[in-house]
Amino acid sequence: MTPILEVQNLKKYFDTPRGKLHAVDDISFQLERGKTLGVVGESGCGKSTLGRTLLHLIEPTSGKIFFEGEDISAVNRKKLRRLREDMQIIFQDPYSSLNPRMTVSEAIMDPLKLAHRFSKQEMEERIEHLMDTVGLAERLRNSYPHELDGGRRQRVGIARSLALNPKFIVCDEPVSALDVSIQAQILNLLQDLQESRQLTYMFITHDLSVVRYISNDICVMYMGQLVEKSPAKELFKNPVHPYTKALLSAILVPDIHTKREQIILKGEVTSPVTPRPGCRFAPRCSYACKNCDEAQKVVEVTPGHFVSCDVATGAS
Amino acid sequence: MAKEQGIQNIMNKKKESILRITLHRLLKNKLAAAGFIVFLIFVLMSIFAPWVAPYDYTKQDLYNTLAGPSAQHLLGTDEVGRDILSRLIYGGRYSLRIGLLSMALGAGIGIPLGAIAGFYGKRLDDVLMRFMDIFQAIPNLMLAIALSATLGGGVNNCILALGITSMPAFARMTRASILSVRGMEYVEAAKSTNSSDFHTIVKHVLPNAIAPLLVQSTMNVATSILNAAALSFIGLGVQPPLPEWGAMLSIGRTYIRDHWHMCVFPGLTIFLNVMALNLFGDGLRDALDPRMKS
Amino acid sequence: MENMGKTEPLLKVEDLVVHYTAGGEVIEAVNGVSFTLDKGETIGLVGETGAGKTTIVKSILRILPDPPAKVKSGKIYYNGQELLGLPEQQMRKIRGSQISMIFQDPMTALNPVFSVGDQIAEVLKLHRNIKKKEAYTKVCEILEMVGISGERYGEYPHQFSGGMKQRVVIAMALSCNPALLLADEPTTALDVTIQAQVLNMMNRLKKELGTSVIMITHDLGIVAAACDRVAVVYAGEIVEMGNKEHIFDHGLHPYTEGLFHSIPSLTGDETRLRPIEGLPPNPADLPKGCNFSPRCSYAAAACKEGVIELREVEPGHYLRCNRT
Repeated sequence: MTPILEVQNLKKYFDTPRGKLHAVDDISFQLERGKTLGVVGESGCGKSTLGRTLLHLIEPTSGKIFFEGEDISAVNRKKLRRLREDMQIIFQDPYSSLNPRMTVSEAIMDPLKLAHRFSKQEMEERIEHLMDTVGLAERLRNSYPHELDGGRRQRVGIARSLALNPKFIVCDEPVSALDVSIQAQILNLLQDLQESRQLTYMFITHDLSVVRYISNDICVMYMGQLVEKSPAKELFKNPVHPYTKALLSAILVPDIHTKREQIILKGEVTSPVTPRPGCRFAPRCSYACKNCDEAQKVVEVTPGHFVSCDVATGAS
Repeated sequence: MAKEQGIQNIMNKKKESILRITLHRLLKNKLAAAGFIVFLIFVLMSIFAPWVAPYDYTKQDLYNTLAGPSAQHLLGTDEVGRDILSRLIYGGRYSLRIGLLSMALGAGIGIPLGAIAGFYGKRLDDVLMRFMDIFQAIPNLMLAIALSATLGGGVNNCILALGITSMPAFARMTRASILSVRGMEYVEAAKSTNSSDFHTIVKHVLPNAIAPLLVQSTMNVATSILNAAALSFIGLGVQPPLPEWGAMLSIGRTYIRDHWHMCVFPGLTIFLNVMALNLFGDGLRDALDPRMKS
Repeated sequence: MENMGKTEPLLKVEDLVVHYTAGGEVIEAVNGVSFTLDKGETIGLVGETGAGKTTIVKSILRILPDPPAKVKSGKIYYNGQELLGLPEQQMRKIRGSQISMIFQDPMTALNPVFSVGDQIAEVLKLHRNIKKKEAYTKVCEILEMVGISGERYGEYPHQFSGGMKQRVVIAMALSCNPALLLADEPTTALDVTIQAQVLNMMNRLKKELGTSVIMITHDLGIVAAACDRVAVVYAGEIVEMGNKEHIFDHGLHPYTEGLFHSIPSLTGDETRLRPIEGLPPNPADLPKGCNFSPRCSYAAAACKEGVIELREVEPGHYLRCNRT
């Protein structure tokens, strides 16, 4: 079965006055239809850039992207239009991702209008159906974003992204800005939608308990590099890469009885502008050695569990 | 069938609400409503001048020059005996036309150029803004004078000159507004749903960038009226005997010591119009902002 | 609301009521909140957006914008001294030196045009009579205390990362060695690994300096790691309060229960979360009876009317609910 999405050696570099910023550096992975790939990392790791590059909201510098088997690394305008109906995005900030001057129904209608193939009647019917699907009351049709709370605004954003029946959705921290109880509601909604519409998600977040809950597989990113990829529960049971270990140890659980050894990382995140060769985590890693200056090999330590650290995997 | 009817109802109801709501909000704001009404009165007076003005504005009465306000001439007469009230009423035709049209010209060129510069950035932005810089480097009035002198006198050339003079301010303001809106996520969201650049600018960016422009527009009308006055004063722009307010104001200066009415009434007229426009502009901006609760 | 300790509590808040008036509406932000805090203790104020936690804390420091906020009634005792009635002159002496506050967003809490050293020194100069040279040494000491090299005195906020900026903010707050620290979501804006570092540092400093802390957070994980006691706040009221064991091991209020169920666990295998239905109430239009009743799965008729008091259900554990 061809994976719905395949990424090979994807790179995105930005030009800055101080040099090239390596936002996404040589990332490769596959994603099966109907599954969720979680992408975790801290600020500056490049996860948001990765999501946006897949959708051509940012143009990739090099590498290949395959969607449903078709090479979409470089697309012309016409192809992009069609692609955009299949690949959508949900944004993090429910406050800035909605046009303050558009009502709920106008916001959802916009993508439908732009498709140029729906009659007014059809659009209105779709809007009604979408609002019902995401749990927005009919009476909110003419409401403006500032009249709604964060959870409802996010539902509008979700309805908008579903308008053209996409197959793949990049969820860029969709619940990070919401209160805990609303988060849970939206997560449930996203799961229901996945089931009923056979959606595939790329779920970008920094919240580790959420990513474990919602993902089938998880990618851990550090400064543009993919350091570990594994099935979700396996990653938490058996983290291999030193960064993953440190990251997981830093999570604060709402439990007063488990004692955890926190791995405190030394130093600060280094600059992603013209970064050092090899592993970028090395300066802060307690296992660092000379070999870390070389490009690390990707090793499959257990089925489906890939790690990019020669010291940890013993591949030197 | 009932469901289709329901959807039709919703569609119709929404369309009329926006206009209704804006108008309703505008009228609720007392100051803005007052401004709107005052300005409307002046506009109507100038349109219906032949029926409203008590005298013909060119009619001279050489036995009754420089007369103060009286029962016959409510606002007095000027240096050749013409009724000032009538001249002010007719004068609206020129001053208001100059003010409004030059603003429209300046905005009509400046806003699209500023929008393009702000939205696309980089080289296009550089080129357009340097072009604007050239115009802005010359003091406003000097530029207006230079253009008027080149084009010649008369109302239309005055409008052209003043319109071009006000273009850079609109361009810069639009550009700044666009820059701040451009980075918003809903613009990115529009892009992700296949919005063309044109659609994005018109539907998403401009409506949110328009607030400062509305205020700028109303202020611009006021400045244009005053600039037209300056032009008249030095013999460019509107030529006598046309009763343009600014021209009347300038002439009145010479007589200010003994015949204050020649200066004060034109000045008051300009002031009232400018004030009314500003209040209206503020109110309009607030009325269009969905965030302002009534 | 007295604790079992024989000494007077450092802070005692009694029946605090705060209203906001906006656009003709009255927003009941805080509705009768009472709690105490002993010396060296850390209490966590847990709740979601709009619950009133920040308002409570700002009332203690008397930095609520007035208008639109107004303290309607209640008393706040700090070291036995009532704060709400204190003249502003005297309150200023307390702010920053006896009681200080850390705000949520370190990106905007620091003034970008002054060096970090100068900003910390400013606090010192305001409250202590010290000369420039002495201030410089003291500031370097404080910077080292929060893990920043004293050599960075002259650097500007933009030269620091988010985590470092928050350390500077904490350094500023602790510079005069206050007895009480009010921390409003101090680590929310930080990355997970940085959060761990900063909380560790705060824990260490708390012990060294004997500071009492009120920690506002919505993250139960932070509460577990950094707080001794917990007060769960909902719609301007404390609905449950107790020490860590009370809340984490046998929390009784349905809202507390709901909060725990909304968070996916790191070891469990649940396939569906059980969120709390509905939305928090509109503080301008609170429901009759228990504020949580419209969303409560255990709500009975008696919950929808009358006033439900905060009662002590076991020593040190308080609950505002009809269920027990």
